[in-house]
Amino acid sequence: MMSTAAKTLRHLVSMSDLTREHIEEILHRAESLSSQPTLEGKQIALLFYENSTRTYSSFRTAIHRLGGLTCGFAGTAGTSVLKGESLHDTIKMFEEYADAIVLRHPRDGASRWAADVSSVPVINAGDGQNQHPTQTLLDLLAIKRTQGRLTGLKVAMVGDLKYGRTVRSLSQALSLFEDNELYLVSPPSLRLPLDQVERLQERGTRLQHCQRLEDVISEVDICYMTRIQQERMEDPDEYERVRGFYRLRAKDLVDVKDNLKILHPLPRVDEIAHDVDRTPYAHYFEQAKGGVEARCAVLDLLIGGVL
Amino acid sequence: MRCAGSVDWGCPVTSTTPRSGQIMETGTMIDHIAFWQAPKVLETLKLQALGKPVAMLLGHPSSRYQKKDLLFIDNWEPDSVTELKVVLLAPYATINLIRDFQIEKKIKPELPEIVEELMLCPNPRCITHSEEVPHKIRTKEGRLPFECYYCEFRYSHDQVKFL
Repeated sequence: MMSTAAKTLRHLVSMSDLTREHIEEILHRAESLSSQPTLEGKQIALLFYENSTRTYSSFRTAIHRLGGLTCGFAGTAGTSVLKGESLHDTIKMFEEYADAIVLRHPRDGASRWAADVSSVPVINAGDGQNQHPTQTLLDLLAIKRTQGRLTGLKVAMVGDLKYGRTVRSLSQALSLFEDNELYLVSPPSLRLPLDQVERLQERGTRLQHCQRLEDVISEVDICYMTRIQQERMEDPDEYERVRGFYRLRAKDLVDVKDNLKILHPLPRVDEIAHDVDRTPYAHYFEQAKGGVEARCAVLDLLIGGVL
Repeated sequence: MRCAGSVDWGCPVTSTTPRSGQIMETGTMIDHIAFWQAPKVLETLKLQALGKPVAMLLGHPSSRYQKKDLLFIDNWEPDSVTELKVVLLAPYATINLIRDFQIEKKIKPELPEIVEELMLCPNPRCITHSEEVPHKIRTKEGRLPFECYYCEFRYSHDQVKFL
């Protein structure tokens, strides 16, 4: 039986489209969905204009697990995009082939535009620096599974808070749940942009800005590490100034809470040393595993809707 | 316009707002522009091409805002799009139409929830800069009152640019 929350959702473009009820319903579905063929006979277009390992593979796996078929492209090589075809025209073409479109695009706002143009549901798989809502849903799934709740948490978001879309989406989502406190840990040049800070403050989320991870690591329940997004920086010197700014090692985890979990949207570069993998706090690979379940839940909610 | 090229406002500039009738017989007075924003408003209105006499008063004392700017444009009236542009740049502005040395009408345009095909998103990475996309900007209260409908970038009056 489809809930009221689900009925109001046609596309998944941004975390600002989702209420707390939507999120709770999607996470509930992610926990309860088995391999029911709710997408049987349905074709889903995967249109990935940017490189992707986990997001592409987990969407593909999720669609197959639910009995659906896929078409589309991973990377623009060999497509008409390189001949100058617009996103508009590509969407209009694929809506004729598919029952839904999963889109990753380098431009901020591309998914909203695609959703406006498309007659079939659009799921944002990352649009530039803006949003990555399905990553956030799997992040929330990992938090809920490890902490047992999404409220009253102390969460450190560490690294590139300026260019990272996962930080924007996740901080917005956490601001929907009461009593969460966010520690925004970054070099001064990579601080969370002012418009995002305002968005969180409007919802009354407590924020603390700091530069040193060691100042907060012992206080937090979740440490959300991120990679410096070199590919989104216009000035190559900017990357050189901040690369290696954070490197979490096992020896940094001696005085932390027992329930601490370290998450990362992956891929990592050098911000988490490999010796952390062997600590009980590392949870990034289990987190990634939840990507298939979270994406199954989103696909089922938007396109399957049988449950 | 009596005062063009001089400071003959017909009243002491430092105490009360000059009454438009003391300056113009016919035209428009834009009042309550934020301090030092009048040059930007004037530039946006693109009045140079019309060759109308214009007077600008910067940093005039204001009981509400401490300091404000005013613009006086002789023998000119804004159309509805220009009125909207004024209030997008200067949210507290009042547009006064002057006839026979008197304020004939005060205009305070209301902002629509979404401004369509008028403002550019200042985010250079926004899809609106690479595809033929209808420009849409949401408006709201607060320090950053504008938000691109597509990329969700929020920004202030200082970053307003028109198509």
